Amino acid sequence: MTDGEKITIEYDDRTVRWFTLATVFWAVIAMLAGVYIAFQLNYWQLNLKLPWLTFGRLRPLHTNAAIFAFVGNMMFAGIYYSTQRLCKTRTASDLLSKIHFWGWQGIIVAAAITLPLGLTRGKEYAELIWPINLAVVAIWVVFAVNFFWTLVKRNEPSLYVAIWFYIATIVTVAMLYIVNHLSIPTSLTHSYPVFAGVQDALVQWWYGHNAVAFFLTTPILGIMYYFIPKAAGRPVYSYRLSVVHFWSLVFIYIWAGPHHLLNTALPHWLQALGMCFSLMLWAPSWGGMLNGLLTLRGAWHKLLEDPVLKFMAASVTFYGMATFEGPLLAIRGVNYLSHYSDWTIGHVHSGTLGWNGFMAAGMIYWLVPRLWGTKLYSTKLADYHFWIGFIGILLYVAAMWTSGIRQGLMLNAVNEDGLGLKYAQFVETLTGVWPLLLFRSIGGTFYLIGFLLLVYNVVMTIRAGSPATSRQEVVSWNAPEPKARPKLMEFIEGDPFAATIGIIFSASIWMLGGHVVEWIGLGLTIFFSVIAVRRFKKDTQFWVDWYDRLSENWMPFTVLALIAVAIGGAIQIIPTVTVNRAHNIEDRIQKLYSPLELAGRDIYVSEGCYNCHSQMIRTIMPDVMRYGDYSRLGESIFDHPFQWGSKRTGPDLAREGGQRSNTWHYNHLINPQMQENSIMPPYPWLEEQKTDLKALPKKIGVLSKLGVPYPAMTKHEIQQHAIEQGMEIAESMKGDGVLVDHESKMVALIAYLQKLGQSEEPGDNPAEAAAAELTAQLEAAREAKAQITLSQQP
Amino acid sequence: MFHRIDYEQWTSLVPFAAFFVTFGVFVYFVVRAVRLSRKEAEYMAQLPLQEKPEFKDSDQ
Repeated sequence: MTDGEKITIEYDDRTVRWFTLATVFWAVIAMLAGVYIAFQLNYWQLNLKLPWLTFGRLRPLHTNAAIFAFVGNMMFAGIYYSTQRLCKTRTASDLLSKIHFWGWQGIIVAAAITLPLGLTRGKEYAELIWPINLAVVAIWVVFAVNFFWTLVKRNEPSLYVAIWFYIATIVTVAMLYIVNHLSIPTSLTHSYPVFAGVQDALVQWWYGHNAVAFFLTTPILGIMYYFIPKAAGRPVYSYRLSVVHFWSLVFIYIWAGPHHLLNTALPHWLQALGMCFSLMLWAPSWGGMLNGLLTLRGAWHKLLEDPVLKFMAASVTFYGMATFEGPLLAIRGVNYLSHYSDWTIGHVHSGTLGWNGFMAAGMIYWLVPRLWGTKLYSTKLADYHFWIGFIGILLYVAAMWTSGIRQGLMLNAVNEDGLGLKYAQFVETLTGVWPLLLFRSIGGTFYLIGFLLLVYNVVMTIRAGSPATSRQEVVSWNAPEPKARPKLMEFIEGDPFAATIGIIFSASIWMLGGHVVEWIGLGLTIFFSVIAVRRFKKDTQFWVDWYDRLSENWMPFTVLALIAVAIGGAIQIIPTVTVNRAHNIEDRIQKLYSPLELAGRDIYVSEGCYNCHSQMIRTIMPDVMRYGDYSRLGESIFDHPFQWGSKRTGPDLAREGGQRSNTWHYNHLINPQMQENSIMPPYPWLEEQKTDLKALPKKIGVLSKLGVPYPAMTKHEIQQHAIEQGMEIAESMKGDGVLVDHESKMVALIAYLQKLGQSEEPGDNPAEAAAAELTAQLEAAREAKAQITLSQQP
Repeated sequence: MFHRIDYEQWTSLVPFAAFFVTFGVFVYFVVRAVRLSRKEAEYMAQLPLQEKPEFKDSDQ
């Protein structure tokens, strides 16, 4: 095939159809799960005393289904459709497309089975167990190969901005996913993350925040930049603005993760970084929103009759609202009130229901008639969908905003003398927001009903048509020979690149260097700046070419995008991982979990308790008044994974240990409603199921490898210690008439809850001190067991 | 909370360094985008609208 030759392209729309149908199917599942768990918060009886239907296990199913199944499939449908058209070529490999599709659905099914079974890593949006994680990575690689191979085969020299957003998505999600899922398995279904405590918290929210950025935002922005012009029949308002939007978003977003950890034990410099970059995000986000909306200039009248544009315009508006609210919530003072409250839930849902959900609906209504070669079955039904869904979102977010602010104010309210809390019982605040939680559930139901109208509309449209194939005549274009194309070295040796690196390097010396060195750095910065300006004046075209070639050459573009996002992560994570370690702790260091307490912790994670209970007393007065002294960084330094949480539907548990008796915990877990108005589900199966004590030696071995300073113990010792401690706890409850198996999960969980918040002075060798403390504790348990045995002898 | 080690000195500067590096890159791309030629910007903006399918038929 030679350049300029006319060829006919037959697009692979079969893959797009499959992903579109999968989007519709999984959207319903995700929304059903969401509505169900929302009602559970009003009517705890809906937990049905079944382990796999509790809020703690279903909430991860809901979030994973919404993010990876619903938006994931939608994203793939949009990317496969638009990339082929923008590159004027068929997707590189039908086989890879098939592997991608079926592999992704297999992953979703595996997640839908394992999460209700309580198989989880205990990190939000990163709950899937390690074998599924490996499958995700493999399938993502298949997708990436297929995508980049398509770019290589393209017949269009320029890469439209939507493709840039897709590239950023592919490389960044890969990086985020791999780093946050680094784990060491202890069995086929269980693993411990390599990071612990504050390190794990930082990595988790670097991932969690950017999962929103690069899974729920950048690909959808790419879809926006493709489908809105298509639907409106006019080009994007400003291509220049889209360029600025892309680069600023990619550079800034990656830094903002720590705003999820404001006022916590996270080092202050990271909190400052997270807040500053979050505020900076206002500009690119609103630039993108305005660009999307202004694309409709001159076509506003179409909104009245075209449901596609209606959904897309509303979607972009919700994007603007959510991205205004996000930085607002990232201000430390606002976060003081909003964090751990429903306000965050409202924020997230204005993004997922409004931005993602409505863009998905608009795209589906646009795609389905074209993919099946017919007209949309009913525009009127689509209109109903829009208005019912719109009212649903408004009800949802308004209820959550009100609930969050009300609960936040109630939790922080103090008596007139300022010495005590006005609402001392956490449950009082929960009762205060009960009607708002119900409004949220109703709003969610409205949204689901609207989406079911889409399902009906799609089914009827498909029945009226048949799968269609789209062909297009294009002018062939072969990428120039490598000699003529810019190589990586050419970029590195080029003046723009060299001057930029020189400026960054010397400015770093200037800022970070000592007395003399900083002056050298300043001199070098001026030198490289002068060089850059002179070269720019002398050879402007070279600079222009440099960028133009970049926009046509996916390889260096991808490398640059990866560097852009990797810098943000590295500057935050590397100092945290190297500095914030146990041997540097001065203040307090966590006492090690005994084998039984560790087993109890795994049960806590498995039941998803972290979905409602935090373990982080913030550095704010109301938190300290309610829960005790603020949490120190060292107090969770050995926690794999960290359990700081992100939402308090129940009270914080950071200092729960020792506050109540074992019997109280037993009674509470069997019947949480012993506390009036509690909405916590009961956990009767914990009494019936046995703790897997045999797994403990492997688990402790893995934790030791990860740096938890466990003293040397044999397998037998580990299991024996667990049994002895279990007997001690079971024995302690006998006097209250509670007879429970000492090997039951109930006893292990109680052991863990009683350990929460226990720490000690680190001394000169914190790790040694922690190990010695555990050895003493185990000895004490052995003695207690001996006394129990003695007292039982006739 | 931590031993006063050298790391702390430079980590406190990280937010500033990060801001200036990022802001510099941002300014560069703003300048570059503004200088994008009208012809090229228009061509790029039209890319999604270039698809004119010849015909569609049944896939089965």
